[in-house]
Amino acid sequence: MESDQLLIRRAIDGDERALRQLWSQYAPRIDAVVKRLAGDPDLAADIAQDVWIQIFRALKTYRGDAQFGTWAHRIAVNRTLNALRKVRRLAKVEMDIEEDSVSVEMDSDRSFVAASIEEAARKLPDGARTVFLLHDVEGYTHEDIARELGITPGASKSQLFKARAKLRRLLAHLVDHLPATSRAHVAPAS
Amino acid sequence: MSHLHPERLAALADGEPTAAEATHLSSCSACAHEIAAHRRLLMLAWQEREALSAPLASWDTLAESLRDEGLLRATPSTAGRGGGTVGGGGVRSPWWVQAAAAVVILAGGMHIGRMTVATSGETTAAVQQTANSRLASNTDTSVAFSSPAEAISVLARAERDYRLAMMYLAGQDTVARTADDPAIYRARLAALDEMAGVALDAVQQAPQDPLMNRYYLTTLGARDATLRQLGEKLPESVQLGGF
Repeated sequence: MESDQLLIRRAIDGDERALRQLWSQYAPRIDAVVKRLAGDPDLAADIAQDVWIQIFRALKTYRGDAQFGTWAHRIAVNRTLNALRKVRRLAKVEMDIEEDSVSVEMDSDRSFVAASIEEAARKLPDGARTVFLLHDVEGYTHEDIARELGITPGASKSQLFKARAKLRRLLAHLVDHLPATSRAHVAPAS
Repeated sequence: MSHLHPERLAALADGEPTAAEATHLSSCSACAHEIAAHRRLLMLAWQEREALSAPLASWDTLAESLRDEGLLRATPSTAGRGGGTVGGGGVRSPWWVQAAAAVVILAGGMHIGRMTVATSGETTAAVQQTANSRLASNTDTSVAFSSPAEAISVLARAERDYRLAMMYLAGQDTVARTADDPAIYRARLAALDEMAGVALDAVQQAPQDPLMNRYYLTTLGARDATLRQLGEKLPESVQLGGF
């Protein structure tokens, strides 16, 4: 089995088989990140192409300090946010955050039942949605998010907690009545 | 002290309460329940990171751009399809193997679900026939996919359909039509608790493993459906507690 390092060296040399192998292996995860952040399938497809070109363009700078998947994931997030900013979606994100406009008011969502986190997150304003996805899904810290979005860590936290409060209600059917991490679940006596 | 604000409860999902908050939480089951729900939400979010997507672009389109960029040598393509045999990079197995493993879980879940569906009545029989027909077509080994992207797309759709079907079945409470004895649900609940415990151990030992996380969450989903069914079967004078 070929190591990533060897594969990357061949890919840097322009070997199509190596490039395609890297793409085949990592596209399902990288493209999933792009799709989540973009929110729109057509937009995500356009961004994904650009993301992969950027990943392969930057291969020469990959030093192996992090795993390739982690390194590529960072590029994917950064490139996607840049692309969203270009289409003015992220401008709205930053505006949302500045105005601290997310509300936990749920009246308009009472009839909405989301089947997944991804679906529920689409009900959030762009700003809160982006912060939630970056922190709770992609694992970014508030400091990372602040740098990526040009906001303060405090604003990132504020948006995250608002987003969680809203998602908790949108996904009540999934998160209520299930055992948490406690193991003390005992069937009731008759 | 009044109940904690919803956003503060959200923050406490992975944050530390103040001394006053901790005191309140020790005596307020409503707020404690909310924090537990937020922790489950966090787990769902964390699991989302393991989600796979069908590639959003084709290799041919990407290769053309890479040639234009001078990143790909202008030679005829010799690359084989699939390409999931490279190790490392934080991926323990090729993506298509992980996706296939998800289908095994889905198929198992569907089988269990079928065993719990009522088996009498004309309507039920018709539904069963339709379901069997669909399952037969789904398990037809002659089905061929033209690309890994197509296969992963079908998998993603199947998983979504499975989740929706589980939610529908929980809402319809089909089991209740054939089994009114709460003892059946208690026994199932106890078994699911055991399974959840084992799956949780596996998740704690291998927190990055998407397969173990899927097992755990699937078990929790089945437990939730059983709990609701049990709640409806108990006499009005008996209330569920201790869950």
